[in-house]
Amino acid sequence: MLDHMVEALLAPMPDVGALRTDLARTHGLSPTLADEALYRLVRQLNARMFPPITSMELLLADRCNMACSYCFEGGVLTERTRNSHLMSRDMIEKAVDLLFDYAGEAKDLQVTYFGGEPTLNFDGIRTATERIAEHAKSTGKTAELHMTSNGYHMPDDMVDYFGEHAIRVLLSIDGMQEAHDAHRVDKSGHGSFETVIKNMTRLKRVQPWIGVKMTVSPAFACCLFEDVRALYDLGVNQFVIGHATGVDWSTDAQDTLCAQLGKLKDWYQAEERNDLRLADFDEDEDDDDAPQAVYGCGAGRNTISVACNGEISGCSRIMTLEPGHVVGKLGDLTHGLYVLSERMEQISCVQLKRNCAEGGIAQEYQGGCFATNYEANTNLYQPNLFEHRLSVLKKQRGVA
Amino acid sequence: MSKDKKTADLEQLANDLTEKLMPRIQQEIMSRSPGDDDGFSGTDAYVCNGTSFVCNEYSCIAPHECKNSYSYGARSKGAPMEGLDFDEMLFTTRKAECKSGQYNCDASSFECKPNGFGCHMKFVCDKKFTG
Repeated sequence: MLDHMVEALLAPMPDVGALRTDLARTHGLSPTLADEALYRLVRQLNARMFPPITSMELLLADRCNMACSYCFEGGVLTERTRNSHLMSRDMIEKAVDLLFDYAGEAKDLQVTYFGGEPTLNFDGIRTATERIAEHAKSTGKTAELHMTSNGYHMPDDMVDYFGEHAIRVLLSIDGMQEAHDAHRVDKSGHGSFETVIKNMTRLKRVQPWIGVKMTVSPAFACCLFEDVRALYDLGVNQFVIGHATGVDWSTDAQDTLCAQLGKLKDWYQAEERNDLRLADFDEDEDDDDAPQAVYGCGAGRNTISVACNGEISGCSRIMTLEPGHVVGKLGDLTHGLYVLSERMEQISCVQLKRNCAEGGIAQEYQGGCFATNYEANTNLYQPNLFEHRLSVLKKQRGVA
Repeated sequence: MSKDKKTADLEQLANDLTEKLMPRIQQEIMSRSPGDDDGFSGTDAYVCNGTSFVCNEYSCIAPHECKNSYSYGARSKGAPMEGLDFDEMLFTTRKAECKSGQYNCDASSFECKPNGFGCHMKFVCDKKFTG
């Protein structure tokens, strides 16, 4: 029986139904107790084999109040979960319980409310926040709360709640009005910039340091420098800048993006500002002591993402790659992270490293994002060569 | 049977199974030949605190408590078990201002953890902390 369990647990996708049946039969357990026993067994195996989970994305809603043209989620989550558009109270509590179950000795945890659009499930935000506080108090751990939001729906009571519970909101703003409204539109097709900036101003009352996630598209790469400066003048303090993926980046557009990033870096580094942070351009003064670049981004290693229906993957973006199933699935809330072989791959990146080595790019590239790899190759662990070329170009221009 | 008793029994069952399964799992991982597409390209075995784990051409998969506390081939030292938390890439402070140690800000303290991306710290304390 033990050899059979080992074989089943190390399968690419373990048959949890069969494992549960085996446990129930062998140990005289009801199906419910067999599920619970399997959860505990899987948790202990993870604790013995892998690092603790310290960060969780909770996809509190699988729908959105906007219709951004480049949204990587599209209708994927909705299609998969059908009628369960908002994460239920039961699922939220199980997810939080799982995080603390898998945190081991780690003291500092993080939870990010994500979606869809998480503000559509304000009750869920409150449920999660309360559950996290209970666990933190009983275990002596700390848990930082973050949220990634489009900033479109933020009534006063919600803003106040974020302030009272130290929920740090990262807003998705792609630039000034022309760049932002080109893609980030509401369901009627109207640009959302003015609404989001108004809400950002109200949010700043309770969250003085405003962080923005900025997705640059090819058509507006030319505006990046001016837009960052203008948003800074409007009160944004920190920028996480990424380029749109899954769209065509011509050579000229890539050059423009790198040139704009270069201007931004020069401006940022020319003067020390206490109210601005562009992490990508902070000088690395401890190069000699810094660890070598690592493959993978933390997805599956320390971080997991939980969907409304309780399925678990390494990150929210992986969750949305296919409508019919979760690519790179790690488990579910009933049984925990039972896909041990998948978690091992996301931690070790053996296939990714091998594929980079075989492609002759392992020296300068650490494999990139699992999700963009899949978008290019339908394989999480086959490097996306466009992303590789762009990363090389950025390094050559000194903006990576 | 009380709920607590049931929980304790299930936990004990999981403990017993874990102890029995782990050696087999490690053996299975190590027995898989290099070049398999399943990610287990084990070639060398190491021991840390009585637990064996496998290293291959590119990386080591070790129990996390063994991170940096065992010796192994220089070719993979350090990297595989160093996790980078998703949000540590967001609200961080400049490396130049952040050295390893405990800091205080207002009524709270935080730990500075240089990890290649800077230090994670209390968000409201950005640039205002004292060592």
